[in-house]
Amino acid sequence: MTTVDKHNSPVYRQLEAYGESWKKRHAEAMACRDWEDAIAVGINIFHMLREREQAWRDQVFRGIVPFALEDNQDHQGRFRNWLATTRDVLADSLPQLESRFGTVEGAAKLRECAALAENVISAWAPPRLSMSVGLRDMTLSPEAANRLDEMLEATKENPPPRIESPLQVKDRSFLKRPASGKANS
Amino acid sequence: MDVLVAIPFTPELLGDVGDFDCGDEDYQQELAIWLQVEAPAFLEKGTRVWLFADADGNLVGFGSLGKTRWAYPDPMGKKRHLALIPAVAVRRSYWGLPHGPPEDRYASQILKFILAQAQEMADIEPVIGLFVHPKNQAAIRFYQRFGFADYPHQYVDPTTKIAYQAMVRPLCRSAQ
Repeated sequence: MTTVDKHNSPVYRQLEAYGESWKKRHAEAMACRDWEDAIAVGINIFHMLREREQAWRDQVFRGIVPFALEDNQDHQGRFRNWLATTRDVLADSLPQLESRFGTVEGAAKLRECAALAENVISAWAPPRLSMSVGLRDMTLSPEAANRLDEMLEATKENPPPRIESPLQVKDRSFLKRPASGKANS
Repeated sequence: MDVLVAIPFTPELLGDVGDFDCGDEDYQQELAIWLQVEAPAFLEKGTRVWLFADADGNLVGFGSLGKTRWAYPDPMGKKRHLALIPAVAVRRSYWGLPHGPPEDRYASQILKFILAQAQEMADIEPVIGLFVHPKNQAAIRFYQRFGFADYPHQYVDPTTKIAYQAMVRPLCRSAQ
């Protein structure tokens, strides 16, 4: 089972349009503002790709959708496509624009996004179903739902005692490490 | 009382937990793997993880606190947000220690610390839950001592077919 539907995916269509727009605009002599619009679109698409990727990872983690290799390739492929277009822009069009117009709005942000995309691709690890079953998506039975509501209602009259913990929080330098770098057994 | 120290876990500490041993049973080995392999992924999802050390800095155990939501079976799709303990364990060499009252033992100190942390968010997540492997009867009795009640909800893992038992406990809200 996969969640991929390229033909009906607005993100996918925008990604294609982003690539096409630079090819077209490269051939035409356009005003700086039009180039800046195209850069803004590229930045927005990058953020959209990240949001979609994170949402998919969360769904797999919670067991809402099963992991599918096709989804994994599709999400990774979107970043590759975006980066291929953006690399061309950064290597060719943008330096020309900057020498022609000086500062180009969004250029620094686009470079940041390109660096992030490089990291996303190089550090890519497929998402996994949560090993802790408690964090998976689940629906309560009517009995369990009632019991939970009753419990919460009862605590209004009879609140549970407050828990105090004497433990201090310290940073990791407190942890003893033998010469091998491993903690004591 | 030999009081533990809590150390927020970060991926940089993975090298210090490679020999974490909390027992031979499958569900105990799963907890060690959770810490050694899975914990960074849980950190990314907002779960908080702590290592616990004794006064000399020796690693004693770990605990975690996450958030989840359970859907109600109503057509409106109501969801209850709750705190959840994904994994908690004490190293085998520290089981039953320190000698003295059970409430001072390391396992009790770790659980109390996690409950106190969860309490800070009780206005948003007024209940804390956890799932126990059905073979782990000792853990069920331990959690019952801290107010966790048996709860008519199980989660059957679709791969292993193990039916994990849910336990829940209300938390004290700030206004109470």
